[in-house]
Amino acid sequence: MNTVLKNMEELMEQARRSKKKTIGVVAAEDEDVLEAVKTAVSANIARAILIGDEGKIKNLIEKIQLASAEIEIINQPVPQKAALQALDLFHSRKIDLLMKGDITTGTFLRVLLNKENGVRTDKILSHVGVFEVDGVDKLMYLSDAAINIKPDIQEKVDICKNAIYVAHCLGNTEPNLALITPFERVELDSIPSSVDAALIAKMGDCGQIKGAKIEGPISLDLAVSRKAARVKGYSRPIAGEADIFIVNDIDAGNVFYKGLVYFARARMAGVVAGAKAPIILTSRADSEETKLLSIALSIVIREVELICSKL
Amino acid sequence: MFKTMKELCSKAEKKDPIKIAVSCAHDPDLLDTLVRAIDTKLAFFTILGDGDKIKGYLGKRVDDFKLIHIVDEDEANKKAVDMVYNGEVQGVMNGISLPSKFLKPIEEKKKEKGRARFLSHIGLFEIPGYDRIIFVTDSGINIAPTLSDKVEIVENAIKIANKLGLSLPLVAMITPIEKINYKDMPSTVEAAIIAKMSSNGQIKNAIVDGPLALDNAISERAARIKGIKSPVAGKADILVLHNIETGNILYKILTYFSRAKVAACVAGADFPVILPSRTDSPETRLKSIALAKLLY
Repeated sequence: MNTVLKNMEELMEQARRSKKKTIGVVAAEDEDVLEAVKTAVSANIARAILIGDEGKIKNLIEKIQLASAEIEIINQPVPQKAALQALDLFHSRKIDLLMKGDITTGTFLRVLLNKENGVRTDKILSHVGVFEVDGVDKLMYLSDAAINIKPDIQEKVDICKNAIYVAHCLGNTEPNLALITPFERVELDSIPSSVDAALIAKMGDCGQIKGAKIEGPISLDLAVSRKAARVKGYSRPIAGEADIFIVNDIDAGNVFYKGLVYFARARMAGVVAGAKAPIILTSRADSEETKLLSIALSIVIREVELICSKL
Repeated sequence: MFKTMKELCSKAEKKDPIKIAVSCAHDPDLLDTLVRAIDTKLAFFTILGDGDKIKGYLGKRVDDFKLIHIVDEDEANKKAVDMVYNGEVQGVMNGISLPSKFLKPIEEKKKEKGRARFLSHIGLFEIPGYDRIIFVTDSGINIAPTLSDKVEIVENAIKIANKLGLSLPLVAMITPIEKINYKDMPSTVEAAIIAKMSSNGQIKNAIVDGPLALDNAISERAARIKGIKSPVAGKADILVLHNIETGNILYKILTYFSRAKVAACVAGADFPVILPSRTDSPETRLKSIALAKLLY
């Protein structure tokens, strides 16, 4: 990977250029998820192995007209077993990506992270959102808006590393990472997020977290607007230049994410990072485009992983 | 209730100019904005601050203001509030004092009068693609409000909305999810309790519901897809955020990414209080002055 992907068109283009990937869908008997698979198959960026209740899957496939040579069905009506089977297929390289269907997120992730044949790494899993906003000439990364409710400092470090990793996979090899807080001062007694931010930024300075310039505590306006930074007399180089935004907890992340999508009409792709392969988790309320872009994002990340594993 | 900022301004134009005391006003950008407010007959100002600096910045236009030379920050803030209680002005505005210092005499005066209710920040946004003004609170004053603080934040916002002509605003308590997670997500617990206080009549003149995620509060499509049944879902007028982290993020997304137009005020005082952010544009400051006019 040498070019920095700047928008969702370029992300899609990169997915198209990648070797076609196979998605393993766990408990695939879910209409919304099959719709997402359909958009990816139609866009010619993926094929899929649907693991789940064969009868239900076939009915849904007929209903949404997904019939395609790119689809294979494996009958396994018990969701937990379907997840285990997906892991086997992943380890034997028959599937490249794991996607959640009609199974609770908790069960799905628990099976995927099991100690025997799971895909866990030394890091926690976290959600990374990638956003394209009108008037901003780059992709922005946000974490964690969906999985970790109230991460402690060690979990936040993993969240940073996972987000940096995703940015690297999309060609941004020197991202600026901002630890977002309400103010730019460290407030020892009243704002715990500012203390965490200071510590993590210092870990960045010490080289304990690599691959990004890390800065914080910093408020969102300073991270995105050089003018605001000037007015407030904030002179660190990250001012107005942040690529990765790390928030304190799920309350802040969720408002950030949904504010961008609903109030700024951002285009968005999401992925679960921190496992041996990207994990696709789409939400029912996601637009069709978001579902497709999320699959494309996982494909691009997996392509980098597969190329690196051959080096 | 006005639906656009243009309507807000034209309503404000129809009222007589409001008299405002501006504390710590020795800042050239601020004074420029105040001159514009005078020229459009929005307001008259008494400005408190470093008189020499102010004269230097204003030149001849200093004659359009009533100037009180007070260099000490705390003294200027206190004097501005005293002027309201003496009937000399109708509202106060912060110049470049620290927000906590600016608010202190307002809070103290309230305590003196036996009304120990507290202050909260409210932003009113006109957002492209939305057919109504959306209120966001609290983005600027209360760092980590307790449950009872939050009830006051909700009531402060309802009062402002009522005063602006929205007789039954729809209030959404914003959380990441729609379920109550009493183990890990205090925001969902507080939202549920406040919603219940609304449905049993303890909070009046509004319909409050939650926990609601932001998408389901403001998008009818999202609420429909997720099967959310709530009178507030998709139609919220007032968004109540969990703490300053969430409030600040939403305020800034709306300002920097949505190109929303904004007017803001401090609610909970006995009179209009304007507390601009240092990075507010002159337009935002003027709209906030117009809003203050509608609130006294």
